[in-house]
Amino acid sequence: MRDFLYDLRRTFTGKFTIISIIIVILIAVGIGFLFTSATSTSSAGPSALIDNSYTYSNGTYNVTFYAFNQYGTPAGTLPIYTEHNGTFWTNNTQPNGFLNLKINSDSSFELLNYSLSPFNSTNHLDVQPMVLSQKQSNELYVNINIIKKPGTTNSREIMVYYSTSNVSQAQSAYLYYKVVNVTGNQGPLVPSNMTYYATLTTKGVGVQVFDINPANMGAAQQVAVAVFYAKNATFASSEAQYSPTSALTKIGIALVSFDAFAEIYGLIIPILASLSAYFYFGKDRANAVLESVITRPVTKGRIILSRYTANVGSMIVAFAIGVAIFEIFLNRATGYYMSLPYFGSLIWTYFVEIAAFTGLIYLASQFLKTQGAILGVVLALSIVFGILWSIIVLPLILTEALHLISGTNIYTHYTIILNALIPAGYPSLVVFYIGQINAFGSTVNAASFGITQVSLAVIGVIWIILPILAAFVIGRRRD
Amino acid sequence: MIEIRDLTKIYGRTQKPAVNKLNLEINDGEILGFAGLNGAGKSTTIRLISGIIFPSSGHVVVNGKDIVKNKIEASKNIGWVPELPNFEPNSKPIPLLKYYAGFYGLRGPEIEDKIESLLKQFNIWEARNRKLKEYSQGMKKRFSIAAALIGDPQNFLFDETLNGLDPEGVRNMRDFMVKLKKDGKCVFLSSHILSELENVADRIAIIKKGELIKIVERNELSSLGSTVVKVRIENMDKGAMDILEKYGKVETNGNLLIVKDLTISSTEARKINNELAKNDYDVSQFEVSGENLEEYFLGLVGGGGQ
Ligand SMILES: Nc1ncnc2c1ncn2[C@@H]1O[C@H](COP(=O)(O)OP(=O)(O)OP(=O)(O)O)[C@@H](O)[C@H]1O
Ligand SMILES: [Mg+2]
Repeated sequence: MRDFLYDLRRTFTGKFTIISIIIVILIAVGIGFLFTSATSTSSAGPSALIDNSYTYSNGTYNVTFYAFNQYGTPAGTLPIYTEHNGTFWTNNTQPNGFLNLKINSDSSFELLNYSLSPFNSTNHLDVQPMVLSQKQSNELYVNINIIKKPGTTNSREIMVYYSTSNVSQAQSAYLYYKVVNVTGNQGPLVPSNMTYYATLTTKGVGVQVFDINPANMGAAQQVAVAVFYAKNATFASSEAQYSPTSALTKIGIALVSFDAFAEIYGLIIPILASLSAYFYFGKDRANAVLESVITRPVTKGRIILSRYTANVGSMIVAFAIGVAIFEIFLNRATGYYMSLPYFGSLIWTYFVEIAAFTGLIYLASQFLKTQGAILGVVLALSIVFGILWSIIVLPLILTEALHLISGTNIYTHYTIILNALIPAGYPSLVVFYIGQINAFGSTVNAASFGITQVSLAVIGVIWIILPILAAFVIGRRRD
Repeated sequence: MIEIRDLTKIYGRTQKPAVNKLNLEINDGEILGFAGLNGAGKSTTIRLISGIIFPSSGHVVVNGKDIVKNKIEASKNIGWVPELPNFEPNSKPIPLLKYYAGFYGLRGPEIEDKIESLLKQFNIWEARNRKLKEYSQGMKKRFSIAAALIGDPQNFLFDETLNGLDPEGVRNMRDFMVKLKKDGKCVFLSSHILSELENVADRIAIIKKGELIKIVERNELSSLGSTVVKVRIENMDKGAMDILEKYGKVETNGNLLIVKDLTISSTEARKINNELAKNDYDVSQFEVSGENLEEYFLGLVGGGGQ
């Protein structure tokens, strides 16, 4: 066992393994950043949203703007451009997202124009008019905003903005909801046919967030929400309709990340795994460093197996670290982890590909006498049957050599056969099985092409066993 | 104890055997020299014994265990010191020796002590924190001997180990081998220079083109280097040969005749020239000299390695 441990330690602390781990981590971080920047919670800027309200007292309109991003996070120090009676202002929101303006006027109507971008004419596209009137200004005002649930890509909740001139005594409003079908007649939104959810206690200006998430919602259903000033009100003061759970479900996220990883890591595994096999075995064999080990009480077969175990183990750990790092990004962006079955199939896919390429280099090393020759095979194998396989080689074989028309079933059929014959094709087979989608994005039944859990397991096991078994059987009896 | 039986190694179908039906026994408490020119098959034989390469036919039996059939047991008693020390370049000596020790089932503080004493014995303790690729050739050679000793084997294979050492190194090495022998170990030492083996080997096996051509025993060794007469006769015939044969054993080397095992003392050797002259032989060269071991060796294996 000690020799296995030594080989493991030597390989794990070897320069090439460390470089590989760094490359794999950088890629994971890269994918992670792409993933999270698409769902960033911090970018406000022009995409900020604005709620506004006003009150009137004694010749002054008090106007309030509240700026927030799609996650409902206040957007502080955001310039808001306003115009009143031909005078232009620029004011930044406070760190809490609020901006207060006073307009001194005792006329019963005033028009205030505002925008998030500078303007010098009210014809400007982004300019929003705000009508101020003495008459309505003392009522409670509410507005329901649909926001993304922080830490998710697409789950939604609501943020209710309220404003009242009465800052000393709270006024109540009532939040109701109901599950509705997206299509079809929904009926009027009144408390009597909705479910009571919460009472808003409003005092002054503020926001309150509600995460309404009714169980067992169908795919074509949404939640309708409404705020009423009284429990017997006949109309809603504000209403909205949305899907609380995102279109990008857990499974969706897992599948997207699974695809990204299977494909991107699938490309670099051939080169990293076979280079690792070269550095920790092929090279040592070619330049005779292994001889001083072979004279020990050990067999060549055992040396092959212990080095192979170390090679495959270190590569799997490198890629597992990469996926784990991505999971951290994924979790920060969406609140989810890739589900265990997906994580498991990723690691299995890597295992198959790593084992196959490592085994193939071990096999080639039994026949090739020089470092250069082995390195040549490493590069040829990992470039032609690795990196370029699914991008160039496979499509070329299918269209140029086999004259198949892309998009047809027979094309998909041969794609699968060729992917099964080449270890670099294995991730594509797994993606095909998990996504049940062909290379052209159409939904297919993988089983009808012979790709089932069983056939995938069989192909995987063959790729894991065959190359190293051949290397072992030949290597234990070769000089 | 190593027994080599009909050992044959053919590297390629088109190549002649590198080692051909070799039979040899290397006994405990013995240093067996193994002499042959470059390419004669010395390293091949040693690599076959150590289990690095596989024989095409024949057997190597190490302390009763066949090196092919029972590799693990046989290898426990092999300490191989390669011609060109070639170790993991990025390794440091202590972890590498521990790795090797693991194959012998050695572990724990006992092996740490052993490694320390070996590194001290071979004067590389000071360099223990340096990578092997930074070692000089001499240090690598000393390390490879330490590495051969780690499993405390019964048999040692030294491939050209004296070659390339400075005079002090040669003396130390010889002393070391003699000590191994006194400890009852079996030592096999190859060299392409016979005289290198002269002062250390008990017997010398001479190999030419993969075949064993002679085993020189210790007592024969001391008689080598005796006086010989070298004669070149222009009108050579049977009569001349009869005259020469009266004085000793005649060998021919081209048209040079060498008279060995003289029946007369070296001071009387001139008599041979006189008698040839009396009988009208035209002697163009006459030389009385002590034949050195190398000449003897070349006489035996001369004409290139393969
Ligand atoms: N790996 C190999 N493949 C093919 N032929 C080889 C191989 N190793 C050695 N030979 C050939 O076998 C013959 C014997 O070589 P070997 O190395 O045993 O000689 P040697 O006596 O050790 O020579 P030297 O004194 O130069 O070390 C040579 O003709 C050599 O070319
Ligand atoms: Mg040699």
